[in-house]
Amino acid sequence: MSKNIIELHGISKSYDGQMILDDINLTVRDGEFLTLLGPSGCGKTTLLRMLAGLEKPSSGKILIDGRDAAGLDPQERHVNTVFQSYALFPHMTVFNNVAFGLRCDGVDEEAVKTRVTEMLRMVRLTGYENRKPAALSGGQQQRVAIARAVVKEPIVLLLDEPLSSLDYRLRKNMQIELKELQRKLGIAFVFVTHDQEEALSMSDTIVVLQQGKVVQQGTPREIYENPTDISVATFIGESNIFDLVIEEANESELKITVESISYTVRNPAHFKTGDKIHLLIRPEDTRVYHRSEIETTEGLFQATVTQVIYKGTTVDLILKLPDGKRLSATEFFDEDNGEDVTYTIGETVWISWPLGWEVVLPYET
Amino acid sequence: MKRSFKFIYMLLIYCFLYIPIAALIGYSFNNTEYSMLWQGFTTNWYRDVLHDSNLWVAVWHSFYLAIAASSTALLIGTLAAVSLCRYEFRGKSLLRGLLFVIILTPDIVLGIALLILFSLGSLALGFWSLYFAHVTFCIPFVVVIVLTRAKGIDPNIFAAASDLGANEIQLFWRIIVPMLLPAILSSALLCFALSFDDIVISYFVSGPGFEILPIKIFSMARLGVSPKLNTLCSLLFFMTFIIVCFSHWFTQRRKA
Repeated sequence: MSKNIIELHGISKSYDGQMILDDINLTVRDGEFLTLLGPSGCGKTTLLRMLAGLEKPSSGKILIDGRDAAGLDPQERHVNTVFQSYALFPHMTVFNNVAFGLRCDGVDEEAVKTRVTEMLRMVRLTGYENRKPAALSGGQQQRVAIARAVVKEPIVLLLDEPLSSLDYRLRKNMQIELKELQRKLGIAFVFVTHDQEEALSMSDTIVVLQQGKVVQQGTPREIYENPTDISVATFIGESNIFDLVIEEANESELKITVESISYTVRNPAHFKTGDKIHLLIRPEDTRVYHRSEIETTEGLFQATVTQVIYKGTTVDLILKLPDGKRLSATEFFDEDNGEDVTYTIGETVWISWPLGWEVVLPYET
Repeated sequence: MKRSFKFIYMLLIYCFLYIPIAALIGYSFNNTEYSMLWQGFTTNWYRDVLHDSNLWVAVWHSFYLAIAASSTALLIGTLAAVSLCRYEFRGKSLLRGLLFVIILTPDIVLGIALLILFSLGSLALGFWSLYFAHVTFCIPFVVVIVLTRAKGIDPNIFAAASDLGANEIQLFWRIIVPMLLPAILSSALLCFALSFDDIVISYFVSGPGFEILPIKIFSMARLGVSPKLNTLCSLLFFMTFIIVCFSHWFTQRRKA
């Protein structure tokens, strides 16, 4: 088990009486890729700036590498940041930008040259040493910003939505590059984003923040498959949500009715008879059948196709239930069992989901 | 039709702006002492001006007064602008408001106020009184110009610098000053110009021992506008023209 590189104990922050962060407890382990995920205004950037030493917590304690960070200035923390706007020094060349941190520490010029050259090679910017940031593309500026922070050999690299201003394709490439870089460097990354897809694809651990609180922490898979909270479930990925009342419950099973059809599902968290719940089914778990594909409609409910969205690898369907409720479903092309994924608008289809793949959450308004 | 109208319109504007100066330059070659009538071409007045040592003493005084006052104002003003931009403190907006008050205050008020102050402090009128007066009216211009530029800088750049280990002194010299350099240079030019041709305030706070050019010209003009004065003013205009061309060339070259 690797050691904890950062520990937050009961961190709170308020501005003018307004609570930005409320009792945050968090650990970052050495070499881990941890993502702070949340909508804008949830306090994730404030939390990051605290780790960088640019803000002070109103209460609570931050330990960086076992030392209390309260008395440490930004320059003493061995934590470096990649800013959202990159914040490159526009009057300096790429080389001088990357060398800045080392020169501030009084590293001798010989070593500066070796380390900066090595770093620029790592982010594939060799040959760009004498350019000014303004003469670089967005992706290149991004890499300078990373190089500038990483050349200081921090124990943790903080990244504040570093990919948000790049276009889709570049963002995808940078995600892979960042992940590779992190593996190569072997240091912990604390990554801030509001993009759930980015969080899922890059992180070892995701911390979901909402309104200044940690609502869930876990691996991407845990967060996606077992959200503990309806807000997490709706924030991460799409879901079809049914608001239901449990008709009968014991310790292991629940009886519920979805669209006038009775189902028995497992009881994940001691729900009792009469409890109100959200039943969650992910679009990719929603199975859609033509009448011809099934022998009996028992245990399935009916819906009408209202939209067909062809996405290349999948077909997304928007469905309408008889009571007017909308569902979405994602069907994969599966050439082996010859499932028919051609749908026409207005067509009646039959819906089910693999029992056990649903998520049951306590009802929240 | 439309294009020729545009052209004529622009021509009129530039005529309006430059005819007085053209007349000034023209008359500096007039071969007469006082008459406004054209009496023939001469370069005698230029020779006269170049050999008038009294005049050159005044030019020299004005020159080093302007250099001294604007560099002091630059130093104080830049530091003030940086602190107004970088730090939060009480009364910050009041302080900024007060700067604009100084800029908008009529010169005559400032002149009398300074005169009263100097006589209360029994400071003899001369170089030092002029110096303090010029520093006073230059500072607000420096602060306003530099502050505008400083506020345009992404605050994350400062955060990034301290994140990378820069202390306040390194931050100031390696990041802030280079990034503010264009604003600092242009306010330097403005201060020099303001100081070099200030007459209203200088009139109140100058003394007989230290004569500066604007006051000298002013007193010469009271005896009537001689071609000698025209010559002097033409020379000043050429000087300005060269400086403007040079600074234009300089900024163009920096961009390239």
